[in-house]
Amino acid sequence: MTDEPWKAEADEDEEDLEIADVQYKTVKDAILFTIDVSPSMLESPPQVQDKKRVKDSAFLASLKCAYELLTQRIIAQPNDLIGVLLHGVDTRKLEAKFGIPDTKEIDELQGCYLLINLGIPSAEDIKKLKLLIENPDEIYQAIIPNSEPVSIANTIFSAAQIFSVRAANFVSRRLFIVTDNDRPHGTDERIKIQATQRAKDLYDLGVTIDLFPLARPDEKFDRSKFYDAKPSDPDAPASISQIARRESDIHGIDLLAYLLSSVRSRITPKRALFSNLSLHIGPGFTISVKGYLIFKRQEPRRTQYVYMGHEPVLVKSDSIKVSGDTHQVVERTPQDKEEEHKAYKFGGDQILFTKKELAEVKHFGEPGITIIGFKNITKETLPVWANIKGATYIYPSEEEYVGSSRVFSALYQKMLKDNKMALVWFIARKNATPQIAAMIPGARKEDDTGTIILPEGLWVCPLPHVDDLRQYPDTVSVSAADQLIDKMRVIVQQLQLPKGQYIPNKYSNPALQHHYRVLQSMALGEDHPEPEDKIIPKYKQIAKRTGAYVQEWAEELEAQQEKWQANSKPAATATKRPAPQKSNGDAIPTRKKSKLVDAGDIDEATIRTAWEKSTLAKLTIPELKSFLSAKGMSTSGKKQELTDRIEEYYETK
Amino acid sequence: MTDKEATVYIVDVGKSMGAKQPGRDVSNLDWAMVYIWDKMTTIVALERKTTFQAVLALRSDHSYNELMQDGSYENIYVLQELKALQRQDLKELQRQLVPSKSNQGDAIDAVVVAIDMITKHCKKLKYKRRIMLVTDGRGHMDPDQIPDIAEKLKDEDIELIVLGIDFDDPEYHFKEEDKPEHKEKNETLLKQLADGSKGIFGTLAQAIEELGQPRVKSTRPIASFKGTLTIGSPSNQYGNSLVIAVERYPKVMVRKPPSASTVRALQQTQSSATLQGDDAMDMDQANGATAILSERNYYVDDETQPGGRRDVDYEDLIRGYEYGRSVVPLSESEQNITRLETEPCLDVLGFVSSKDFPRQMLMTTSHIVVGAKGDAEATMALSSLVHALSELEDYAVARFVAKKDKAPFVVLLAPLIQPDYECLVELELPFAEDVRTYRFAPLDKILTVGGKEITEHARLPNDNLKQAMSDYVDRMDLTTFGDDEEGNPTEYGKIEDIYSPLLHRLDQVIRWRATNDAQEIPPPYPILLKYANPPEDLIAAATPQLSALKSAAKVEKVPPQAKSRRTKPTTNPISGLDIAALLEPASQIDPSNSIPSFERMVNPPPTTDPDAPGPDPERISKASKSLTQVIEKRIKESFGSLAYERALEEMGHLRRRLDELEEPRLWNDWLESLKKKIAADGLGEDRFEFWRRVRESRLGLLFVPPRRPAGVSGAEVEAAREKWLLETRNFWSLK
Repeated sequence: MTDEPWKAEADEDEEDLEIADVQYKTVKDAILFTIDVSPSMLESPPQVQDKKRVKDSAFLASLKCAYELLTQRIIAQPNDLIGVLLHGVDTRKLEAKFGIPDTKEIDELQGCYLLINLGIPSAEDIKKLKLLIENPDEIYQAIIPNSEPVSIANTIFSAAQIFSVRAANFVSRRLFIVTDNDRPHGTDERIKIQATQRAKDLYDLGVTIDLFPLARPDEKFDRSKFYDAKPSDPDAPASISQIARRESDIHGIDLLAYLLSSVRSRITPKRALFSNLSLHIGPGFTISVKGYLIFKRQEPRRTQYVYMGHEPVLVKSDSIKVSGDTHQVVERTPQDKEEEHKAYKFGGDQILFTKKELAEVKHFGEPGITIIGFKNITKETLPVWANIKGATYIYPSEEEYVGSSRVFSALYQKMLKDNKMALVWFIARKNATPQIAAMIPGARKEDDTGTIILPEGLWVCPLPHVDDLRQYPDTVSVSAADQLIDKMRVIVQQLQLPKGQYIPNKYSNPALQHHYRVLQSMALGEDHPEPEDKIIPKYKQIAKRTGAYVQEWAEELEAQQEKWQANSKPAATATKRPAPQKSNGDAIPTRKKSKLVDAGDIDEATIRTAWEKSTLAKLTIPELKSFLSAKGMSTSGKKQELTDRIEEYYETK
Repeated sequence: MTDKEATVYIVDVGKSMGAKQPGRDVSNLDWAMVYIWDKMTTIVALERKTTFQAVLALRSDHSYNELMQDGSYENIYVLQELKALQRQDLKELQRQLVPSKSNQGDAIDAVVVAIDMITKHCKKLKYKRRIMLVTDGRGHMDPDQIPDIAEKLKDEDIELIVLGIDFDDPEYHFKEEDKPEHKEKNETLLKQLADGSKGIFGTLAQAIEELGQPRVKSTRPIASFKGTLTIGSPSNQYGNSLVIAVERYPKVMVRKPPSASTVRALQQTQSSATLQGDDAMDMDQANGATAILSERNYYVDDETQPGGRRDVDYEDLIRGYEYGRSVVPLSESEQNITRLETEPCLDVLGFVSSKDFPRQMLMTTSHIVVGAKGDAEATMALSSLVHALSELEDYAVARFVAKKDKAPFVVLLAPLIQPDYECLVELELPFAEDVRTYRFAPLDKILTVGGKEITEHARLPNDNLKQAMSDYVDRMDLTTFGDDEEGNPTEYGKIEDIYSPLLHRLDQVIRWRATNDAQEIPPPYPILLKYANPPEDLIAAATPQLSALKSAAKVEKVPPQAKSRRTKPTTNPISGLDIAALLEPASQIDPSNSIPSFERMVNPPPTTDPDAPGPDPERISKASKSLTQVIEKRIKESFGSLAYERALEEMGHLRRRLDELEEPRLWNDWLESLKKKIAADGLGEDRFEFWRRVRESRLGLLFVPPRRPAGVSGAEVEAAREKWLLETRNFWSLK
């Protein structure tokens, strides 16, 4: 480390010094969603009594899942790639219907058809899938299993090529495979080895395989037959077995729900906000952690500029630097850039700093989380209002310090057990603004389906500084009597959310969903959908549950109000501003020959003269107001309104 | 809006102010100006048109003020009338405020002049009036009329602040030795005046010491929502809806530091940050700097045009959205088509328990919700809800729309009861779309892929470590570590005690530079760094616990070498099947499967011997040669930039692996030859773009650590690294 640590990033552009606080490293993700087309996948499930159950074949459910995946991804990860590959399908029919996919530089795909090429999905892609899922008959005409069994090795190899060509250099590349065939190699051991080899290649390429196994109606999916042999990321949590356990009892509509929930939990690649950040537990005692944003507001994308050529195209833009006075383009060499200054506005002038000076000023130390000490979590030490933005979830990492995990675990367990928070000084990145924060423990929380809503670990919640606190507005000082509180208490008890918890997964963002549904309809040339707002409270239900109690409360409120009004002085004058004090024409201390002159009170004659000369505007507001109030007229409004009122007064007189 | 302010500074510039007192290396005047400039720049920095400041020089060589007549009010010079000062005014004042050759001039006279200035300026308007007098108290003062002047100050509601250089202050424990008699008398007079007008009288040293205390700006609360809080339908559709008229105000709002613009100084010779005041005055832009602005250029991709782009006119553009890869243009009338129509509301959805409420779900700053202004009934109604929630330890969850057609949010409403204030605190909660379901392994146990639970593992703490951690955490308790004003133990690091470091640091340096042109920037005030580390006393007391924790934890830093040399973890199939044994090593690279076949070529044939040597240099060299041929071919045959990404990926892989395998020279040699080929158009014409991408992808030369059998010193490695850095920087040029 040098003596001037801010120098470390000297070669980066200065604009980087002011990085937006929450910014993800751009980790691009590509998913190739592969569906196995086998006779059993296409088979309709056995007829069931329950009419609600839709007779979806496993293939149709998978296709619906792919459709959901595509439309969701457009919203959540608009820059990430996705493709749909059909494995073991007779390609001739499909080629006739949808054309030959553009697979430049890819060896011929044998026995698999690239229904949607790996890329950012287009409206046409969505349309294609929609057509298929809405017309299952089309499926049976166009999608026919290949007469010869197709080796899974071929498909994996094709996938590897598709990734290499279309998603080169992507950090995250994942092959999703939906299949009900636990022995894709048949009985041929040679094919098994080949397939394993291809899977290993995929691993070398950095592509991970996520398997979504489906059970056939009459038999279980046995992973040990083939799929356990595929290499897996040793860091991946061992929850795959969990899914394997559940697959047996699913089909039809449940199948789709199962697929959706398991795909959803894997749709976002794990993106760290920072990795290997130092957590200083005490001086000379440091471990390393990774940070994640678990909650991040999903916003509709901003509008962009579009140029209408023969078809609408998105306009790109770049910025050039121009001189403020001549508007000439400024050429800047790195040397020039270094010599430019940063300017702050101050009193009609600019205060200049060299970039180095400013970097030095803004440098508060190296990135890290430093524990200052611990406190019990109470309403006083950590009030609910003390929040400024989303919390950062941190999790130990062994990469920088071996032993981080056990220390982190001990810290977490202690803090959770004794309900402690740590006050921390938090610098998230190089040259980031330091932030005071509360580091709190959070236990794991699952919803009823076992989906984890909150992972266990520590959370860094940034606290406001004293500068960020706002004053309270004036209010009438009145408290509710116990009788009234009692009535309200019943109402509150009547309206508990299930288990007394807020589960975000149950509240979909209506504005965001509407935005994208409208966009989708426009892109597909369909009718606009009806707005739908699922977070509007169920008024009828609420009325049913609380109506009677609300009535009682309202009556009590009325009674209490009367009581209060009787006991307190009429009209809350406290909010009124006191009238300006009348000058008493005070004596000037006659010190030697000094002259202290008072601005005397204005009399009616002055106002009248001013009106006649049309110089009312030259008078001060208090002068105008004191005249108006003397005449019993309103004194509210801006100066213009006051003078207007006076003019009116004289004109109508 | 905030109150108007009028401040008159009376600065003693008498001859004696030019002297340096023993123990200080600046003159009395310069010392006084430290304080005055700080005050003045603070007000200028507010950038308000209604804060007026004036400056009087006391004991000046000449006289200029409105009261002077017949030899009275002499040696008082109005340097600056009351005005919303700008920086130029400060610079001018800076030039004028120098010690005079005179010792004539009466401080109390100056106060009268200041009173006159203020009363004439402010008339009877609502103003905050202030006179600040800084003097060394060595001039002559006439005690005449002091009680009357004090009375006048009170009548006019003017606050008088007298700060004396080396004035005695028993409370601050300061007493000047060998004080001249007339100074002592003057101090008494000024104290009499200050006390008589309920003003402030103090010694300058204390005032300067307190400058490090940051000032917190206050903002008048402005309602961001006025509407109703309802339980049940707002339109009372089903009867018996509970409706309370409420208003919402910010509770926490992050104050942002000012932003800077980029400028280019006109006089490059002037290496210091600003020009000297005098030169700058004559120029339009006082500091002689030109702003550098950004301008946007709009274009569309067009292969037929040179450079592959065609500029388009801003006027021809319309707005639209991206939907996946498709573009959805919007006509003028369709601008708001995707907007969900909503009505303003704060409708309760239900109630949740506040115990164990996951605070980490809170997403925003907080607001408060209070009964509508002046509405006693609403306030009482809301109070009943606040108390009911507090007693039940519940929070409300509500749907909130701040303005018509704004997006609805789900918010949390928590009760807040303070001795004199009751309200609900409101913060936004996440929607389903805002949650990222990442999966993490549990922290207190390890689940194996086989489904077993392990509780003893190197990644889990043993009882010893747990105990040591518990002791340390308990010892580092802050609950009673702080001192309150009376010196009683209290919580350390309350929110009300912690200032925003960047905000006040920037404020400090901007104001400082405003009057200290090109000098070096002073260090930050200690209070801004107070919470960067645990308090020293606390950590000292916790030393035994910390060392116990350290020895129980046995944490080791991964040496940097090991990190960079670490290879990818070996693949472990769940089944335990040894894949490597099944596979045949490749003898050449398959271009369509380049990276995997490279790996297969590099890695030695499978063996069960754990001590078997790793990849040997010959294999590595052969494999990398083969891969580089593939890459070069790819570039050469690439149609436009089509194959660049793929080539870059292969290069990235090769570079990383050669570094891991400690064969950096192989990479460096090839990269040199690649550069030559590209420069000579050997890989197709005009592959400069590709070279730019290589540079952008940071695929430069690898560092070759010096190696000698006897070992190398750290200094040698450092020197080699320096050399390598330089080479890398100069490497990219294709000329």
